[in-house]
Amino acid sequence: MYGTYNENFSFTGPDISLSFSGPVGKRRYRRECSGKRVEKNLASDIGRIIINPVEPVNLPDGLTSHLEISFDPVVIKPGDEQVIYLKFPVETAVFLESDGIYDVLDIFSLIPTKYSLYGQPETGCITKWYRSGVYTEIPETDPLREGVIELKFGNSGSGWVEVSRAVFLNTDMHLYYGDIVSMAAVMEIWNPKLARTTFLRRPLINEMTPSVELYTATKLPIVQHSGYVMELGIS
Amino acid sequence: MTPVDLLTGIVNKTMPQLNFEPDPDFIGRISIAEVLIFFIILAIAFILGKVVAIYLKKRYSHQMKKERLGLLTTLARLAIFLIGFFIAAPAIFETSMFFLGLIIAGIIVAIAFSSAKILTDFVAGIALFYDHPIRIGDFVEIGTKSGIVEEIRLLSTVLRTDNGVYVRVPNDEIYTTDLFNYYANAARRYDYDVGIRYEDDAGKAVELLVKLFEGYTHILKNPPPEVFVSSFDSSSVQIKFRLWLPSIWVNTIDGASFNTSVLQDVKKTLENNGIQIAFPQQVVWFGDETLIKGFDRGHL
Repeated sequence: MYGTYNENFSFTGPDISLSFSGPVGKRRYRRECSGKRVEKNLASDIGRIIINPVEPVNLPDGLTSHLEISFDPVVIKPGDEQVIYLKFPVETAVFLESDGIYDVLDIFSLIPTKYSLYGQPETGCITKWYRSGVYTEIPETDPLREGVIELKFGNSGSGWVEVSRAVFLNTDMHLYYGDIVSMAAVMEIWNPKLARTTFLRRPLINEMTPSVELYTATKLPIVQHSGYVMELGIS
Repeated sequence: MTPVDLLTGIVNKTMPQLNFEPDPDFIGRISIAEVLIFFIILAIAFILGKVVAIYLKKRYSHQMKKERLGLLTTLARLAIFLIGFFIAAPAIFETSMFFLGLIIAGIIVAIAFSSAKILTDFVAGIALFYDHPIRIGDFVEIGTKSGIVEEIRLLSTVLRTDNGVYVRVPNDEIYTTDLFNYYANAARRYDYDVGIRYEDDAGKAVELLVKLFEGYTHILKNPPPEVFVSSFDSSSVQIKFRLWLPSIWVNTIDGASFNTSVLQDVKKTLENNGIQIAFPQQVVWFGDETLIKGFDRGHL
């Protein structure tokens, strides 16, 4: 389903059907998934249609900019580096593009959403929460539902640390799609309560296509972040 | 006697070395060129203030809260305009900065006496800038007024109530009355009680409710929902559940309907599993059974 389309098309998969139909200027977009139906009439010549995974923090109502992935504890010794693979929920965006100007037509997900609080109510932040297993190799996933994030831990502290969650900021994310949906991230651990997560601009496997990033495409003003500092704990 | 005469008199009395003399031909001696210079300098100060405000907005819009940036730009524009006024005024008034300062001080004192409320609102507005107990978009309750903060100005704060009414609250009131900010913390806890019958399995009811709440998107995973038997009432076992929700969501339309939907789901879940919501009832024991029988037969 992911890709760039210049003309009408339709896609039907498990739990989802999506289509563009009708003549230019009177096109109709229809999407049905998770028991919800969205229909829109496109009065103008819409140019290109781009469908790809985007930063997974927008649904259902954009309450947060943070993705929190919870997983079974991983213990790392001082000075060590470890790479693990985690799964994350995929959100898919349908963009219209004409002369370099993007518009988001729709965003949907086939994975139920759960919110959580990272930290205390008075100082913490709301996160989109997801529970993942811990994998030593790239796990198999349905790219319409789950993506894979490669997380490289680096323990620069002086003691052993136990990590069981990672919090990421959406403005820093770089997604790629192909046979899988992927992101690559680094977690620099300074002590058992303090770490920083950053994303790398690279795919996990060859021949992956970079996603149109939601915040870049919609020209939302963002501050250039150098990752997210997890100062409220890593386990 | 004009205020200028009065001030001149005060200055000459207290500081005779300055020797200010009232000039009766003051207005007549002002040339058109001086008036033009006065207004051109003020216009330049005004435009410069706008330019600085735009620069500040561009430079800091991603680093500062909207309301703080708004107050900062207002103060910057005000300061630049005042500086412009101080530069422009001697050209037309032919007098010193010191004298102008005295005039302004006099005006401020006059305002302070005649309208102390405005000054307290102004000071409170400055305090809001540093203290920021509220932010634009917060849902707040100030005294008897509640609504979403639309704008924070130097003298007042504008709220939009649930039913769409525009309410202007003087800034002083924010500091002198009780203020509840429902968005200040990221999450808020909601407590509910449900009573089930004594013959029902309370442990099973707790398990069912915990499972039910896991399926709700907006009931936070952390802090986890707390569900427990809280008390034994006369006709029911009370189960309490505490749920944490994102503060910013609670006052949306979806959030507002949460209360009703969660209670309906709780009732449905319990009833579908054979657990009934208890209603008030009393069991009455009679000591003399023969008397009851007699009563039943109508022999008494």
